[in-house]
Amino acid sequence: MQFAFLSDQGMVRKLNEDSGGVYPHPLGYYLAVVADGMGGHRAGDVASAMAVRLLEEYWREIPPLKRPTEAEEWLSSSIESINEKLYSHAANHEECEGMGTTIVAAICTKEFITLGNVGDSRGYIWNNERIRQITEDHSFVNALVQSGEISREDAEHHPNKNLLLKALGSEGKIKPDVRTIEFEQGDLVLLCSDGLSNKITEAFIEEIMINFQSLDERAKQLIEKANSEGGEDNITIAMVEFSPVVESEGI
Amino acid sequence: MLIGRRLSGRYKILQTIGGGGMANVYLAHDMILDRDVAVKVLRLDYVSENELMKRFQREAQSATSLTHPNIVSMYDVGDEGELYYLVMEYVDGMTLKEYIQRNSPVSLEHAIQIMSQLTDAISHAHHNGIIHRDIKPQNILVDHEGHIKITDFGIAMALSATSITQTNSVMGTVHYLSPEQARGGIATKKSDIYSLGIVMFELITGRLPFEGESAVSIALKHLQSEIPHPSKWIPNLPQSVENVILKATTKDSFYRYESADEMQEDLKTVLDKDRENEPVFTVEPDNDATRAIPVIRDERSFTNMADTKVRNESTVVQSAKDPVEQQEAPKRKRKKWPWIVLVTLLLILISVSTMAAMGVFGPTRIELPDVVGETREDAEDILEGLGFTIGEVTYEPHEEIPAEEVLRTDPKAGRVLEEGSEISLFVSSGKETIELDSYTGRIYEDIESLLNRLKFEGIEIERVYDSTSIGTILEQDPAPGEEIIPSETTLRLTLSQGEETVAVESLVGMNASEIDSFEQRTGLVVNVTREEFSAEQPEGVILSQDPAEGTELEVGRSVNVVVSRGPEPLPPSTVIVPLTILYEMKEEPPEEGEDPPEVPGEPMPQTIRIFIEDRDRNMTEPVEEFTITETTEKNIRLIIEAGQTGGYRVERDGEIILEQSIPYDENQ
Repeated sequence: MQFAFLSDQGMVRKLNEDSGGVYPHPLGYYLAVVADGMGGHRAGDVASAMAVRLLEEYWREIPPLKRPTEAEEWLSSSIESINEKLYSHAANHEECEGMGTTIVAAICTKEFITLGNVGDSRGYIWNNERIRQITEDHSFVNALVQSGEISREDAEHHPNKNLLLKALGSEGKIKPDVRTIEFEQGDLVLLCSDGLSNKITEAFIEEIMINFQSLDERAKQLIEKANSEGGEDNITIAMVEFSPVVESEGI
Repeated sequence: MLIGRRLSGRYKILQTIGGGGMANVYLAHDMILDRDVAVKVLRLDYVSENELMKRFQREAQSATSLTHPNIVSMYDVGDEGELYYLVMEYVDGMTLKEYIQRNSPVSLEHAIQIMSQLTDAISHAHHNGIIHRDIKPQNILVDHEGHIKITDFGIAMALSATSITQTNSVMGTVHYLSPEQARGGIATKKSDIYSLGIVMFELITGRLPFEGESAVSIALKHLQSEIPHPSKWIPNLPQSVENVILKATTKDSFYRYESADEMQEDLKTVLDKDRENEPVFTVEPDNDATRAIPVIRDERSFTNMADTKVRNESTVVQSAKDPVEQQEAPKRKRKKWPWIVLVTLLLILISVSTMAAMGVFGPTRIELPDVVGETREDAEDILEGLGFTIGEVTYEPHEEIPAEEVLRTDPKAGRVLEEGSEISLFVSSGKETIELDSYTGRIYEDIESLLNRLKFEGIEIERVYDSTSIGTILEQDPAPGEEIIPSETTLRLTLSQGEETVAVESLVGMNASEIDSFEQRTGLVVNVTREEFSAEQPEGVILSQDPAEGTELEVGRSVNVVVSRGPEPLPPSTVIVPLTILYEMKEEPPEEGEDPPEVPGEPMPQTIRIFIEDRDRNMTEPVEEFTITETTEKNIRLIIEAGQTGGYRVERDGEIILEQSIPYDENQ
């Protein structure tokens, strides 16, 4: 397996409120995570960093996963517990009032990927030379699209595009969406904050992916493109590629 | 933590009074104008571009131009470091939300009275071209006298005009959001009317029209379900009152009140007895039938329908094909029609949506051409020629585009749309005219930034002396209420420069006549507060003054002065003079006495008179008179004033025996 993680402040913001990383586990699993913090004065970066740090702590203790359902249960309960911790932190620290964060996390094993998400940070899978979004945004416009009230095109221009339906830390109980898909050699999972997905098309991601440059190089090109389109938001990318060639050579 | 901090050196933050969503609200004190204000600090962290702030300020200015008793005045927009803030009138009271929670159910009369204030305020804003976009009880304040004030005017617009809102945030309330806004369309004046209708619903019933687990489910109900009739909860509600709510909250903005004015007019008579039982408001049947036709005209679309739907279709076709018959229906029958049509409509909706879902029918689809820049008339010809229907035509002011030219369409050019789709046009009404507010009585400094943002051609200021506080606007030209184009208008303001003042000159050294002429010349009053000895200045001359030379004083005010009493006199000296008064032995001539005593007999007493000249005495009367029979010692005491000379004289039997003058002795 190969992985890359890159986070960029963008062209407008003074701070990077995104957090994330890719964390290999001795059992041979990889955890990729991206969190996009928001709210309160100087609290957005606190929220996203806390969420990632907590998840990584839990990750070190993860038991061997026999079935995808075990991964799903682990991810779901971990995210729920992180939410509770963020929520009580926000309630007990005035400066963190209103803080919250999105999260998208992927557990990658040699058989499957289990994804969990809250908010509008996304997960994509790249296989057979196609990119496919595998998470649903918890956003107002996405809910309108799903209900058939507006088209995907209308959603792109909706003035309230950035209204989230839920975020970690914003309410006491939150259930993440969790799903598992197969992971095969040559597949790649890409997690990103909306700083990327708002700025570039899926077609462009495919164009970059097909070049087979190093993962770092691909991440860099994606971020450069988002910045050249305005870069109004922080941009964060985490990628894990199931690539047997590299693995046999050892890292 | 902002409490205790002073923003831009001027607004001292005192305490938190609210928060949530995009901003925290604080009670603050304006140190310059010495008044309490509300400061709304926007949570817009990490936005570094100055351009954003400028755009935000430009948008926010529209709100600052509103002056209305039911609108919270906006004083200032500013930023300090990362903080962007708005300074507003401080209203001591509560939000309408809290008010409803505490006082529900609000009496009908009171609810209408509140609505009337709200529509008045919104109408004023609409006349000024400002749409609120976010009317909700949380944005409405009630002060202790029961006055209603709407706040956050245009903030929603100001925020969305910048990319500030591109920051993620968790959704707030959607209970008052109009269907068109939920869909992401442009908010219009009618969107405000929808929100007003929901507020009225809540005032009267004490509850919200839709309950839901999530913001989305509520927003979807606003899009999909009719507003329930308030009479469901308030059984004796006059139909006229219910109708106001139903009319304000129709899904299709077409059927809502044309304007806030119209709604306000309706509210005026809504409690009249004779309106109590008026018919239930429904969207006009004829109109609706015709509006529905284009979608289903295509017979082809029914051929694939499932059998179970057939009955519905036939109803649909029948009613849709005979709009003329409906119009000609006898008047007395009319009362039944709304129901039939309503049912029909419902069926149309069901079938249409089912059909749409199944993807079975598609009227011809046409690409919407770009008509921006065409005149309204040409654009309508082009669009109708292609088979589109012209929807709402909205006039908007524009600084550059001449009147009657199309600014944009909704949907936008390039979209492929079904034949018959309604295209809304936005047409320039030329340069924005505004109804000039009344500025008289306000302090110029308060509204200076507001006026600057209106971008008058120029602002000419004349200052006159007046008893009002400095900067008060006394007169304005053009007059309030006049429709003007700011960029072509010079606003002339007459400001108070306070009472006439004169510069105090140096009074030190002036004597009485000079003081008189100073008083006459300047209109100031010289007020002697104290007199002091002075070695330098002769008596009557001014030694010092307060205020100092150069101070501007209003005419009629006084200058306090200290006047010289001349040099300080030295203390009188006290002189003790020891006197030895001799007894004069007199030898009796023996020849004269027949019988001279052989031994000295009793001595003859001699009369002594002492005269003194000093501070208290002047030698006219003897100070002491006594007799002696022998030489006597006596001390006398003289008090001699500075510069004076004292003295004494002692007479013995009328003969001066001692006399001396004693000069003042400085050293004593």
